[in-house]
Amino acid sequence: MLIKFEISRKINVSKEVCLWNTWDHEHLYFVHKQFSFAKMLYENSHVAFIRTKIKLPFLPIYLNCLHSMTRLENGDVMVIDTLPFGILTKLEMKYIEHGPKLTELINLYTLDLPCFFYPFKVFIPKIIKNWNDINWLEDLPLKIRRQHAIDIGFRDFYGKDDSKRGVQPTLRLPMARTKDSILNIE
Amino acid sequence: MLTEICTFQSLPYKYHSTIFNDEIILYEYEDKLIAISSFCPHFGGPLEIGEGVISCYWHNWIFDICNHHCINKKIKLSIRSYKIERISPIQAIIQYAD
Repeated sequence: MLIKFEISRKINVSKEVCLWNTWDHEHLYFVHKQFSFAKMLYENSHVAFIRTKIKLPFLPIYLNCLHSMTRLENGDVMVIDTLPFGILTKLEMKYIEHGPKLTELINLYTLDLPCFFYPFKVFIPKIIKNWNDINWLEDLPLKIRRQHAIDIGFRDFYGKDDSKRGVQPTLRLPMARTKDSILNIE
Repeated sequence: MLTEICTFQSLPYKYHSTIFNDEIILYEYEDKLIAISSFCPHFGGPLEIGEGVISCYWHNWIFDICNHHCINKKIKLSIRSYKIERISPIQAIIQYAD
């Protein structure tokens, strides 16, 4: 059973800031309460394979998930998630620049569900949209502040650098992190 | 040398400095007034003054409240600090640190 739907939003930050947030896997564990575990299995300049545990809403149940992220040639992102109960999801994340600090994010979801999910067909997009809303709201202050930091000349792993004022850094993958990052810990 | 006079009502006090083009936090530790940038040197997250430490919730980076060095990651990185001199109970002069 296939379910397709789209979620679209605009935000007053650059495309690079949006992509930074998408590829900053480490914040999943600290910012998004739904994730209780995050471990990087493999990554390079185009892909990342991450294992997470997510908490189901309203229930003390944690589920193992595998996220496969690919950076496409145009910079957009495709995420293939392998979820419990035989659920496969494809998420195409499109980033449309409407201005230097105005980006539209379009998330195209395709869910491949076993037949026994049929009775829940109507509810599943609503649950995912609700999940997406929560993540969006939790990420919002990070993106806005990140844009502000870049505007004043912030440089990663350094701090404010007056020579970098107004310079929009280009995202390089994989994103740098410390060796003792939570993503590296077994 | 850039100089700014900051007026604060209570501590810790956070404000945006147009002089230094930075968001600055003033706080008191062991009767000493301290001024730091509020941007975590990792990815620019918001630093908060806690009990004996300064922390950023984005990636759980923690810094020493006194010397501003990162204390929970295997990396030598510090928060940007400013030179500060109190000139009244509610005012201080802030300058770039040497």
